[in-house]
Amino acid sequence: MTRLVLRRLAWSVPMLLVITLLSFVLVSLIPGDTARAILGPSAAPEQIDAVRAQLGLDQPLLQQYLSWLGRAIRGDLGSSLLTGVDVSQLVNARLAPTLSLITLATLSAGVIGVTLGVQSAVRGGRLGRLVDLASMSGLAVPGFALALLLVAVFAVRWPLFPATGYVDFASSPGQWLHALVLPVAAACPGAATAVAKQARDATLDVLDREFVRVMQANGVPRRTIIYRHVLRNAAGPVVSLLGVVSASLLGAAVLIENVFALPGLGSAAAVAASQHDLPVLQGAVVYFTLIVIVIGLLVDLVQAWLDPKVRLR
Amino acid sequence: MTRAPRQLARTSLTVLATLWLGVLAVAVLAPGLLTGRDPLEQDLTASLQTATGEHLLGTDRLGRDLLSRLVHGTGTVLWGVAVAVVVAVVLGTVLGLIAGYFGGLLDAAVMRLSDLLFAVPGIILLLVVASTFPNDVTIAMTAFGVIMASGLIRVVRGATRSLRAEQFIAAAKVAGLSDAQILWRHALPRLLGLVIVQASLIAAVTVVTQAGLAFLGFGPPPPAPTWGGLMDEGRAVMAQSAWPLLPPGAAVALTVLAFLLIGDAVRDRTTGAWSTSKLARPNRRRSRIASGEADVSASPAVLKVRGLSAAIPDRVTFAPRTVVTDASFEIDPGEIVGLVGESGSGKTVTALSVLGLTPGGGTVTGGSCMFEGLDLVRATARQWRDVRGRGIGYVAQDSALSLDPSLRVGAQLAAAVRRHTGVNRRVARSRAAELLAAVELTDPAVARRYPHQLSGGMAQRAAIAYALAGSPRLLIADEPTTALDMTVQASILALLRRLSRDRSMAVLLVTHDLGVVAQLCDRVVVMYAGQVVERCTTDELFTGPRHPYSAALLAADPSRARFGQPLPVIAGTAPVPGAWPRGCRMADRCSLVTDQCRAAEVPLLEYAHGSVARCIRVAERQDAVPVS
Amino acid sequence: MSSHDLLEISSLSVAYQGRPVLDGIDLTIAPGETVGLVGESGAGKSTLAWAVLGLARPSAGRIVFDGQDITRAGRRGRRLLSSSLQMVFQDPYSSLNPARRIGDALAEPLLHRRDLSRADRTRLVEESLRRVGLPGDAAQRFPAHFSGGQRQRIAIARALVGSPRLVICDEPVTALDLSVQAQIINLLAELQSELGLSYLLTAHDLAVVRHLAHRVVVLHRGRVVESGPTDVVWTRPAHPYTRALLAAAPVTDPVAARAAAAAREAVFSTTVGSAPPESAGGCAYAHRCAFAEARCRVERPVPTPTPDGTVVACLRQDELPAR
Repeated sequence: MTRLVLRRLAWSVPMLLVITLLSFVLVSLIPGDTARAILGPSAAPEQIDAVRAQLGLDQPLLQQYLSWLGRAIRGDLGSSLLTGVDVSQLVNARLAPTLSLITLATLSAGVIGVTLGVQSAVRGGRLGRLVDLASMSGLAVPGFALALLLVAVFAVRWPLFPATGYVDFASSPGQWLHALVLPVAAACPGAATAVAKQARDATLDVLDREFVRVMQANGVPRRTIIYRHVLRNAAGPVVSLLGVVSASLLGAAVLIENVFALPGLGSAAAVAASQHDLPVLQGAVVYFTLIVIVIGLLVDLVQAWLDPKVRLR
Repeated sequence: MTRAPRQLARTSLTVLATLWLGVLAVAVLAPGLLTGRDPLEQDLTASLQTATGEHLLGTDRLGRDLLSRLVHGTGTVLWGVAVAVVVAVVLGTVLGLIAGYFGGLLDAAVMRLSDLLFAVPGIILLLVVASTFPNDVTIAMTAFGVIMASGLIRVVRGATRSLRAEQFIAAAKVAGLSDAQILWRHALPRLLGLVIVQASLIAAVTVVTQAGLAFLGFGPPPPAPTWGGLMDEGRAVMAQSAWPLLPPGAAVALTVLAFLLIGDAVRDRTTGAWSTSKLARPNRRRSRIASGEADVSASPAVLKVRGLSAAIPDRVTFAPRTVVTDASFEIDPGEIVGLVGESGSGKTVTALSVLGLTPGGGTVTGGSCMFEGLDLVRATARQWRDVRGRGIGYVAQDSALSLDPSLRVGAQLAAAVRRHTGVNRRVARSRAAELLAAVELTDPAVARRYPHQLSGGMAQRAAIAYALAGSPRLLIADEPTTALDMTVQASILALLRRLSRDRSMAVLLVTHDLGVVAQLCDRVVVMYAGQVVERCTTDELFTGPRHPYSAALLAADPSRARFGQPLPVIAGTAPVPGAWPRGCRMADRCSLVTDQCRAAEVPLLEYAHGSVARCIRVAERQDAVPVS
Repeated sequence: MSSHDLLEISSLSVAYQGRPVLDGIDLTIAPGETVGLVGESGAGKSTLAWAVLGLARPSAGRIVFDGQDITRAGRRGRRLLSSSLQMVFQDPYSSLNPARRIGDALAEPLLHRRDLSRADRTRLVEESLRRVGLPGDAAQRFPAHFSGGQRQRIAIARALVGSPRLVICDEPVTALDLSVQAQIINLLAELQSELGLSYLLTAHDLAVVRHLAHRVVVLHRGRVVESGPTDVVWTRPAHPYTRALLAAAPVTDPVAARAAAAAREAVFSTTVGSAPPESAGGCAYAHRCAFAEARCRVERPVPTPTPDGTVVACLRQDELPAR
C-alpha cells in the first residue's frame, strides 16, 4: 500500500518535468516577441534587446527551461509579463473556484450517476434503455452550451441564480453554493451520464458472477447482495471513471468558468493563452498537471482499499 | 419492451444518425445544395431574426444568414474530427497492440506514455497549441488526437492482452506465423469493432472540444463561420435574443449524438453486449403456474419434484424457450442423488429451478417442488427466506468465484451464520471456525484469507462451509469437483459423503461425470434434451442401464472400454432446446429406434420398483407400467 | 536412447519467473507411438507441450525432433517445423478465431510453403476437413457455425493439414461432453493407425490416457516420477504419487468405487491444504507421501529402471508394499 503510493509519487516527478518542458517548448514557439508585446510596437531595437536580456529570452531554450525549473522548485513561478503579478499568488488565488467547481461536479455526478446506473442494471428493461439514451444526450450537449442555456433561463429569464461571479466559501458558504449551482449544473450532466453508463456496465458485470447466485441460493437477501456485495465489487471501474471524469472536468472548467466569469484557473489560462502570457500559462499547466496527478493517486488509493487483490500485491 | 421493437428503434435511430452525417457531408462537399446564401453577406435590416421564410434558421446581429453560416462552418468541424480521429486511432491502435501483444518493457514504456498523455491537461495544452499556431485547425486537432490516444491505447492494450491468452494465437504461432502476421490476421479483425466504438467516442468529444475552442476564440479568425464561433456570437446577444444560440447548439448536439449512436450500434453488433444477471428477480407470476398434482402422500422424501418445467428467454428474440420439460424425482433424507447429463440437458436449470433461481432470467412454467411440505414453485418471498440457506444449501462449480472476492472468508461465513441464527458477532465467529473445521480446514489462518488466496480445493471447502452455515437438510451441489484436480476431487467427494452421513443431509449432485456418480451417489436421475430419461439406483445404472442413452453413455466411457478397441459412440450431438424432435428426443441417435418412437411423446415407464426409463422398448422386455 | 525416436527430450528444464516449472525432464516418443502425460495442475504438462512447440523457452536441456536439435529453433526454424510438428488445443472455442473463416485457420500451417499455390492450399484444406469427417465446404464457414465437437474436429484438421509426424494433444477432449468425447478419441486413434502419427497426449481424465497411450509419463511438480508402458503403470504403479493419482481416478463401477474409497484412506496422507515446502533438495512429493522418511526430504531421487520395464524416481521403491 505504502509502496503503491510511493511508486506513484516517484513517477509523478518525471511526468511533471516532461509536461512542463513540453508546454515550455510549445509556448516558446508562440509567434510574436514577448518583449515587443510588453514595450509596444514603437520601441527601439536596443530597448527590446535589453528587455529580452532582462527576461532571459536571449538564452537557449533549454537554459531558459532549466532556470525556470530551478525557480519553480523553490516555489517561484515568475511573474506575469503583462500585469507583473506573482504567478504563484495569482494561481493560488485562482485555485479555489476551480477546485470547488470540479469537486462539486464530480460529487454530484458520482451520486446521480451511480444511483441511476445501479438501478438500471438491477431493474433492467426500460430504465436501462433510458439511462443509455440519457447518457448519450448528456454527452451530446456540450457543457458550455448547457451553461449558456442555464444562464438564459435561470439567470436572465428568471433571475434565480447569479449569471456570473464567485463568492469565497470562507466568507459565505451559502452564497458560495448559490454562485456555484449553475456552473455545477452545467458541468454535471455529461459527467453524471458517463458515470451512470459505467456504473451500469460494472454492475451488470458483477451481477453475472457466480458468487451472486451462490449468495442468493444460500439465503442472502437481494438488497444485501446488491448494496453490500455487488456495489463494492462494481466500485473499481466506477472509481476509475470518476478519476477520468474529474480530470476531464478540468477541461470543461475552462469553458464554464469563461461563461460564468468565475475567477478560476481555467479562465486564467484561457486569458493567458490569448495574451501570450507565458509564465502564467506555464504556472497553470503545472497546477493542472498536479491536480490530475493527485486525482490519479486518490483513485489508486480507493482502488486498493476496495480490492484486496490490489492491496495485497 | 421486447427485443424486436427495441432493435427496430435502435436501427431507425442508427439510420437517422447516418442520415445526419450524410447531410453534413453534403454541407461540406456541395453547400449550394443546402443554402444559396453567402455566409458573409450582411443585412442590417434583418438583424437577429428568428426562423423566417427568407432565413430558415434566422439571422445574427449583422443580419447574416445562420443556416448559411452553419453550413459553411461544417467543413472545419468535420476536418477537425477526421484529423483527431485518424491521429488517435493510428497512434492508439498501434501502440496498444504493441504493448498488449509483446508485453514486457515495451508494454511498460507504452503504459508510461499513456499515463503521461492522460496527465496532460488537455484543454490547456490545446490553448497553448492554438495560440502557438493561431487559427490552424489541423495542428490543434492533431495535438488533440495525440492526447485522446491515451484512452485508446489502454483499451486496445487490454483487449490485446486478453486476446494473447486465446489459444488461436498459440495455434498461429505453432503454424509458424510471424508476429506481424498474427497481429494482422488475428488481432486486428477482433479489435476492429472495439476501435470503431472508441473512434466514434473520440469523434464526439472532438466535436465538442473544437466548438469549445472556437467559442473561446481560438478557432479560425472571424468572420469565417464556425459552430463554436456562432455560439460565442450568440452569447454576445443573449440578453436581446437567445435564438442565435439554438442552431449551432443543436448542430453540435446532433452531430455528437450521431457519432455516439453509430458507435453504440457497432458495439452491439460486435459484442452482443447484453450480459446475463445471475441475480434472479422475485417471481411475480407465481399464481399463474399450472398446478402440478400436489403430492400429499406421506413419503419421507425431503424434496419431491413433480413435472417441473422451465423456460428461459431466447437471447435474441426474448421469447421464452422451454429448456426443461416434466422433470420428476425425489430425494430422501440423507440420500445422495446424482443428476446426470451432458451440457444442454437441463440438469443445471432443473437444480437451480428447485431453488427458484432459474438461470438466464428464466422461470418455472409448471409442476411442483415439495420441500418439507412447502411447494417451492409457489413459495412467497417470506417462505423462501426460510428455505434458501436454512433448508437448502447450494454449492457452485467454480469454487474460486463462489465467494465475494472483496471480503475475508471468515467474515463471510460469520455473516452467513448471523443471518441464519441471529447470534452475536463473537459467537458467529467461533461458529464460522467450527464450520471451517467441519470441512477439514483447521488452519485458523484460512478465515483471515481472501477467496483468491485459497487453492481450488480449499476454496471449494470454504464454499461448502458457506452452504452449511444454515444447517440445511438438502445440499444442491452443481458440478462441485469439475474444476478440481483428481486427488482433490476425490477428497471433496469423500467430504461430501461424510457430511451427508454425519448430518443426515440429503445431497442433489449435478454432474456430467459418471465416475463421480459411481463414487458418491445412492440413486441417479439421467437427463437428456430437457427430460428425465432414466431414474434408478446407482447400481442399476452401472450394471443394467435401461434407457439406450444411459447405456450408450456408459459404453462411451473410456475407463470401461477395452484398450485398442474403438469406443462405442453415440452418433451426432444432442438436440438443443427448440430443436427437440417429436416423440423420443433420442430417436435420431438411437440404434433401437422404431417408427413408434417418433409417433408420440414417450412416458416414463417403470421397469423395477421405483426405477423408470423413458423408452418404449423397455416395455417390450419388462412388465413396465407408465408412471408420471 | 534409440536413434529411431521421433522426439527426444533430455534434461529439459523450464523456469517461469525464477521458479522451475520443469526440472530435468527426459522423454522420448517413437514414430507411431502415443505417449501420455499424466499429473495434476501445476505439474508442468502444458509447459512441456509448449516447450516442444517453442512457445515456452527452455532454460536447460535439449529437444531433438527427427534428428534435429530444435531446442532453440528460431522463427525460421519453427516455420519449417510447423508442418511436421503440430498441436491440438484444449478449448475448441478459444482455439479458432471467431472472426476468421475455417479455411483461413486451416491454411495457416501452409502459408509459408512456397511450393503450394492457392489452389493447392484449398485442396489440402478440404482434404483435411474430409479426413476428420466434415464436409469440404466447411472451409467457407465461420467457427460460430459449429458445435464444440465439430470445432475440435476442425482443430484436428488444422493440425493434420501439413501432414505432421507428431501432434501434441493438450487435453483434446476435456472440454467435450462424454458422447462427443468418445467420437474424438476414436478419431485420434483412427488417424494414428491411418497416418502413422505420433501423439504427445495430456489429459485430465486418466481413462482417456489409458485408452489412447502406449506409454505413460507421470509428472509431479515439474519432475518425472514414473514412466513406462501404460498397462504396467496402471496395474503395478510403483511411485507413491502414481498410486495416489490412480486411486483418486473415478471408477465408473460403484462396487469398485466404494472399495477404492476405502483403499484411498491408506494412500493419502491426512494433511489437507498444507503448502508444499519450497525445498531445493529432496523428493517433491515427500510432504504428501504416506511412505516418506527423513531422507526423502533431503535426498533427490534419481529415475531408476525397474524389472517391470518402467522407470521410477523414488528412494524407497524397493521397500514399498506391493500393489
